Amino acid sequence: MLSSTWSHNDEFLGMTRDHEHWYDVQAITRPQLDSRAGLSDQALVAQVLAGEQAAFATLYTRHASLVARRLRRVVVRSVDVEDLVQKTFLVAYGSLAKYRPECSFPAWLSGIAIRCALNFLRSTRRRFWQRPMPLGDVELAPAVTGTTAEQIAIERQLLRRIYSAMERLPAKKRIAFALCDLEGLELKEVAELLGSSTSTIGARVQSARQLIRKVLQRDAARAASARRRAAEEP
Amino acid sequence: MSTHDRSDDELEAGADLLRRLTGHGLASSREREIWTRVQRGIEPVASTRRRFVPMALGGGAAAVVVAATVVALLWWARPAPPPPALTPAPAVASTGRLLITVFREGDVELSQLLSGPVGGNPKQMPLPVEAHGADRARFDFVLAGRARVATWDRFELVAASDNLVVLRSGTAAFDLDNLAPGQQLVIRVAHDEVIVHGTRFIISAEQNQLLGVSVEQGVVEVRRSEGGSASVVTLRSGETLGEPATPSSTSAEEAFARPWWRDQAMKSETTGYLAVTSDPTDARVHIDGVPLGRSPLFVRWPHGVHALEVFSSGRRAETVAVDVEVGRVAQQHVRLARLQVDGPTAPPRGTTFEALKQRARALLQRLDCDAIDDLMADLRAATDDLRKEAEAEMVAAECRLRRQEKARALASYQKIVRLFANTDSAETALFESATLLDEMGQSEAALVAAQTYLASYSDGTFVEPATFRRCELLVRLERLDVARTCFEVYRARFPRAARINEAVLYQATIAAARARWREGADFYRDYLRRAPHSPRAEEALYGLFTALHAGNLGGARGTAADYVRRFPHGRYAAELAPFAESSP
Repeated sequence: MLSSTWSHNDEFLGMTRDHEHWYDVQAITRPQLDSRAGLSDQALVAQVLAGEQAAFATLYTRHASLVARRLRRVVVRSVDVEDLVQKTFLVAYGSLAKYRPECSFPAWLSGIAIRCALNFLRSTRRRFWQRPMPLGDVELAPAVTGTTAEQIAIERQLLRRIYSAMERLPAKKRIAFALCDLEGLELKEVAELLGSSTSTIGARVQSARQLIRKVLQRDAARAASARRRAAEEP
Repeated sequence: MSTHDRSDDELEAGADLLRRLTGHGLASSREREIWTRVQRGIEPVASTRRRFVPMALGGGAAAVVVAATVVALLWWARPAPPPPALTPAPAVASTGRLLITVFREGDVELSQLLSGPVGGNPKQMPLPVEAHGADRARFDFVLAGRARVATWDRFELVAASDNLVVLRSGTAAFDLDNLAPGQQLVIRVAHDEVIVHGTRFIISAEQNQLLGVSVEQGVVEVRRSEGGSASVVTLRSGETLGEPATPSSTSAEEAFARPWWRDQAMKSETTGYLAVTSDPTDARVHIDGVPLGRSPLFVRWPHGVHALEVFSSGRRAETVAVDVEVGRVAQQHVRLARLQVDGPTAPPRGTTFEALKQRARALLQRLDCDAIDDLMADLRAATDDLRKEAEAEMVAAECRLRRQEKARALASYQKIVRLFANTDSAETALFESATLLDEMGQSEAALVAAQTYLASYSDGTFVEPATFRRCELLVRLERLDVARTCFEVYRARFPRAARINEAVLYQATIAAARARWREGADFYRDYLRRAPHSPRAEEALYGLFTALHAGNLGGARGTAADYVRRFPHGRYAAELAPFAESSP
């Protein structure tokens, strides 16, 4: 009863189901109780398809972090990442019958995640004035390594600038850049995830880098001219 | 070091920072939370009634299953109970041609509702609420802050209680926030019920007959009672039962992509209500540039001063500023004057053209655009007057627009511009083309259309909105220097325009983007002086801080303190708190 085979019947038997208890009995909080921990992804998929829904919890535990990290590379904001993780697993659950066991499950899942992210980026293309400030609600501290206040400010500023440049990229280029340059995947892997050719992905990454460089150059030129003007002002 | 090299270094350093920022997965508490959300989408949540099917499948004690089956069959085979007793109400927002009947208050039509709030405040509207929609009607409401419902076209629906909606006919899309264990939402069509386990689905009914259910996300359970026997079907994401009459070019996704759902509906503490009526009715309504629907219209909207634009084909567009106060209804009636046709008009050939035009208008009410297209040949033959012909073409274009067939509407408007130059219809059509191109995401083409309009009709009816749209498009296309001049011209030419505050904020944003910190700070201050309580004041105050801080202009700490005092839980509060603390 305490494993991930948590039964539907407990409520019928009169057990209460408050949130804490609910979490407590889940396999994801007590992986050591999960009898499926040693099974391969393919075996777990087969179990889910045979009606063992609880096996999906093991798949989730195993891959949620990878999916979240891949998505975070692309969309950055935690709240969006979480929504997309949820969507990815719901879509994956609905499409499990289409999964081919000879393929890697994490790659298949990542493909779904990236397609969800692509749709998300396209659907949330907002008007300029409706866009929030770049990285406005993202906790930047973990990324910043500077020790002095000035270094920290410079790093924060650079993060905002590069993110702002990334936000201007078309969704496909942004994803290609994020997966290659941030996640460190090979072009071939990204091409497989996105269902494109290696040369297309390579071109997208190059173009994304160029666009970001251009924005950074323009920013630098503007800052220099602002400094000049400030110095000239009485 | 060359600029190129420096930008390469910056790219590498920035990418490194982004790598560190985005290199983690999920915190375990969030992982658990998301799992519960996933789980609700893939399997039934706690409910005695919904437990019936999985319990039987799970192979529990046979006797218990048999007993439960008998009880459940008897339970589901009984006649639908009357709606439950009246309970305090959810917030209701609606738009479109809509009659709202509030049981306790007697029959109250929307027009009456707008002229005097029921029970003092629409938020207190008691359940059950009965809604009848006419063509193109749209009705949105929130049940207990979790179920968001959108209906459209002709429908009859009763929101009976927090967890029961009765659909008599029409099509409705539902989008649910997480259901807590034990909570449920039931949509009833006569004796059939749809029990919700998931998040997003569409359901259709006609004359108390369930036509079909289509699930976009999650799981729903459909229990049907036919001839005294009950059947249960579980539908998952992407599955469909029967034939839900999904309206053309509309999906649940699209229905819920409307602005008030995601951004405004749940923020009741900072929202009021806006009721728009117009003469004539059925005019297109935009608020702050966002197309919302047609009048009469009743929406929940963030408080503050907003630009309300009302358009109707063949009428002069009106733009007014409305002040929405928290929890109150701002009412605005807009009268749209008929556009005057200059110059001599050829005498009408009897009444044939007028009769045909009336017929076209009647077809427009029924959104029968193909029939209008068929009528066009007769209309053209019935008149030699280009203006009249253009007006008839406008009816055809309007029909496509009302059916949300934007590409066809755009083609019609462009045809009018091409063939009927120098008519009022061409002027309206050109402006509508710019609007449509913008809505369709074709910013470059929209800019060209807006500029053509301004060049062709320098004193035209839509000069003010067209100028603003041009400036906005320039910003969107990141031609910031031209946009800067554009907004200067706009402010000088239309100092009393409803969007003047928005223009100031644009100017501030452009200045900040160009690192002109002093200028940016001045514009932000100007905006905050003009609209201190607007929903975007927080953003402006943060912008002011950024400008003062980055430009080393002094006053940044005081601004940070002001921000933290005004928005202690604001988006940037954590970032500004250290500056605020060190403020004298």
